[in-house]
Amino acid sequence: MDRLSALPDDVLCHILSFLSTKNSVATSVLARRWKFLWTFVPNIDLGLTYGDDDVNLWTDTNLWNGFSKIIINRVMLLHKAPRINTFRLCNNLHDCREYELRAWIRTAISRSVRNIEICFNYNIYLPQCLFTYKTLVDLTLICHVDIPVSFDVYLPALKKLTLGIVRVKIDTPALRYIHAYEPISEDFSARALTSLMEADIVFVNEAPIEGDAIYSRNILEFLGRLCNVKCLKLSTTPMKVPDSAFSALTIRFPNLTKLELPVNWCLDWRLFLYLLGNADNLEVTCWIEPPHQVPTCLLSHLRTVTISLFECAEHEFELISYILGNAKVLKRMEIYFELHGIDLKGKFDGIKKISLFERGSKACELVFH
Amino acid sequence: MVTTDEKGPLTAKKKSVIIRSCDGDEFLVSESAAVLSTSLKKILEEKEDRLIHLSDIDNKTLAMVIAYLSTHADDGLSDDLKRSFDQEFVSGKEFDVLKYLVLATDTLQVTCLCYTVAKKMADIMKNKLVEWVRREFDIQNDYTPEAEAEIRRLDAWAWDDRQLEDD
Repeated sequence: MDRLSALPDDVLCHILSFLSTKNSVATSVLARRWKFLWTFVPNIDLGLTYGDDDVNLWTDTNLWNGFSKIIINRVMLLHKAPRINTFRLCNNLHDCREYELRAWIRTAISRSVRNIEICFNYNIYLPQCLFTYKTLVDLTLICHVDIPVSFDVYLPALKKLTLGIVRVKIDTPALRYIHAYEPISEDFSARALTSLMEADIVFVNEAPIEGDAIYSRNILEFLGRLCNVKCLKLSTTPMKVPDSAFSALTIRFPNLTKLELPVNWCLDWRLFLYLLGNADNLEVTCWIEPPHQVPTCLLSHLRTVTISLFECAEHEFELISYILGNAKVLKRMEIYFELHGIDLKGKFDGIKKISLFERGSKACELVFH
Repeated sequence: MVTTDEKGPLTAKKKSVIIRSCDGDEFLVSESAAVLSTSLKKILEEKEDRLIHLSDIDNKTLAMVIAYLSTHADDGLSDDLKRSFDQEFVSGKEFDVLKYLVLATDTLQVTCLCYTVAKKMADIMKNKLVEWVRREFDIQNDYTPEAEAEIRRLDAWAWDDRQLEDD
C-alpha cells in the first residue's frame, strides 16, 4: 500500500481542498485512483493568486492570471462534490457572457456555497441571486464588476465583505469585516454596520481637485458608519478636509483598539489626530510616517506602537522620545528602518540614540528591524 | 477547582479517562481534553467505563494527539499561544507522521488538528512535479502511457507555466 493511497478518499479530498483547483486537477495524473478525486473536493478555486500586496493586484489587472471560459466550463461540468464551500473565479480574457456567469454562480449556490470571490476586469452584470443569497458568509468582488443598483443587496449572514471598484448599496446586518476599495460614491450606500468589528478601507480620491470638500465629507460620513469597529486600517491619497467639516464632527470610536495607517497617510493630519483623540481604548497603532504630535490622553492606554520607514529624521526622534517618555503602559515599540536611505552606521547610531531615551513604562520593549 | 457532578457529591479532583493505543500503551487524559475529540466525547457520553481502547491508532500518534488536546484544553493559555503551538506542532514533521496524524484526527474527529495537518500536507504537495509527488509519496502509477498522455492533453492547462520544484 503506498503512503498516500492508504488514506481514505474523503481525507485526500480534505487535503486537496487546500490546493487551487489547478493544482488539484494536476493530481489526476498521479494514478488511476486520483483521476476524478479532484471533482469531489468541496471547493472550486479558479481565483486570483494573491501576492504580498493585494491592493496593487486590484488596480493592475495585467498581473492577473485568469482562467478562460473553456477551462471554467470544463471544471464546472466535471465537478461533482454535493457541497461547495468556497467558489473563486478570475477571468481577464473578456470571453465570458452574462448567462454563463449566471449559470456558474447558480450552480455554486445550489450546492450551498459559503464563500464567493469574483474578479473580472471587464464590465459584466452579476445575477441578482448573488445579492439576496441568505446564507453567504464571505463575499469578494474585485474590479469592474457592475452591480445593477435597481435592487438592493440583502445578505443577512455575511460576515466578511471585500470590494474592489464596485458600486453597490449594501444591507448586511451581520457583517463583521469589511475590506473596501474606494467605497464612497453616489452609488454606494450602506445601512448601519453595527456588528462590524474590523475595517480595511482604501480611499483613492478620483474626484477632481476642487471636489475635495465633498469627497472628504463623504469620507467622514462613511467613517461615521464604522464607529463600532475594533480594528481600523485606512489608506488614502492626499487631500484636505475643510474646516467646516471638522467643526461638525462628533464621531467617537469607543471600541477601537487598533489603528493602522499602512500607506503614506496624507489625508489630513487633523483627521488622524481626531481619530486618536476620540478612541478612548486605543492600544495599538502602526504608522509609516510618524505624526508630528500625539494627544497626551492617548498615552495613558497605548500598549503597542509600530513605526515603519524610519528615516532617522530629527522630528521622528523627538516623537519617539516623547512617546517613550510619556506612554505609561507601553509594552512594545517596533521600528522598521527605511531600507535604502540609511547605512549600517546610521542605523547603529539611531538604535543607540533611541535606547538611551527615558522611558515612562519600565516594561517597554524596543524592537528594531 | 471543586466541581459538582450530576450525582451530587463534590469531587476535588478533575475527572480523567484512560486511553489505550493499538499497541497497548495507556495514557491518562483529563476529561476536558478528551471531549475536544467529538468521537471520544460520544463514547464517554454513552458508557460509564473510563477506559477507551483505540484499535487503529498507534502509541506515537496517540501521544501527539493527546499533547494537542491537553494544550487546547488548558484555559490558562491564550488563543495566540495555542495558534503558535499548532504551527510548531506540524512544522518539520515527516510526511509519514502527518499521514498517521491526519488519519487519527479524522477517526477521532478533532476538526481543528485535522485541518492544520491536512493544510500542512497540501503545502508540501503544492507546486511539486508529478514525478516528485509519486516518488516522495510512493504512489504507483497504474496508467498506461497512452492513458496518461490523454489526461495530460485534456487538462493541459493544469500543468501550464507552473514553477515546479524537484528537490
